[in-house]
Amino acid sequence: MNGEIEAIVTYSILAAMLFSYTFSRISSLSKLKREIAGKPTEDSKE
Amino acid sequence: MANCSTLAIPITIVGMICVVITALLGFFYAPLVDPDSWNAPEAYRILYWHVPFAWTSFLSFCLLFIGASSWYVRRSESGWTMLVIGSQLGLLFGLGVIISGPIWGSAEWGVPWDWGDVRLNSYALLTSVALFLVMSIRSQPDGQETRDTLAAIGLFGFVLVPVTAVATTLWRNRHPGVILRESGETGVDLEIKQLMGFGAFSFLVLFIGLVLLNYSIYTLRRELEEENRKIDKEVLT
Repeated sequence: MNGEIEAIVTYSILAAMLFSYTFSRISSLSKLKREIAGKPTEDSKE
Repeated sequence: MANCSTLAIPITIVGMICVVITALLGFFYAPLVDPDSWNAPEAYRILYWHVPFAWTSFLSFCLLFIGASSWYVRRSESGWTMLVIGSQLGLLFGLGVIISGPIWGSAEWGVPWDWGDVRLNSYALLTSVALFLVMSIRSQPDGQETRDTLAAIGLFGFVLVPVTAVATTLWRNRHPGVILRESGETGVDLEIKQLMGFGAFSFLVLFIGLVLLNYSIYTLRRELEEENRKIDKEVLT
């Protein structure tokens, strides 16, 4: 047992955590920006 | 503010790319440690993420401390935002350390956790404080009393940062010492040190990106709420 499996498992778990958190934040920011950018257009339509 | 939200995504992506490069270099470039002195020589590669995760968590706890102090001194909204971001990132990076440490420990030491090691236990407590803050911020109604209480807990939690750092050298049992400092005990290879330095840089870039990202989210959310309140008022009057 050299610990290769442990290393791969650890990196997979940490990468999943890091990527899911980061991408959820990026998508939240993009959604908010779209919402703010879309607001005046909707108002002007009314 | 516009610049902040424009820069946030590119900086975060650059940070993520550097972090992935660190992992790849850790697997394919970093030299193997002496198999006679280590029980699980390949498992040591976990440290290329474990150590920067720990450093970044300390940065997050510093942000939490600055935010909590700023909230107490000036009751500033940006201080509260820093506290919220610091607790979230502290939990993210702290959990990374708490997950990766025991996996490496069970491969190298034969046990995942040493209850006699002050550093491990104080760090676990620090991450629990971050978990408590994140859950409380989400579940409690937002108000000055709630913010005061949570800021006080954040300040208490920060006391554990120097305790954990000092425990590295004073009360250490199993956990290895400071690795980037020259000592006869650590004797770390230059390539390993360089890669660890690159890992620290990568995680620092990612940390800056995530702070900007979260800061932009909270600021834009507040702006949107204020705009909606104004519209509601106009409709009512």
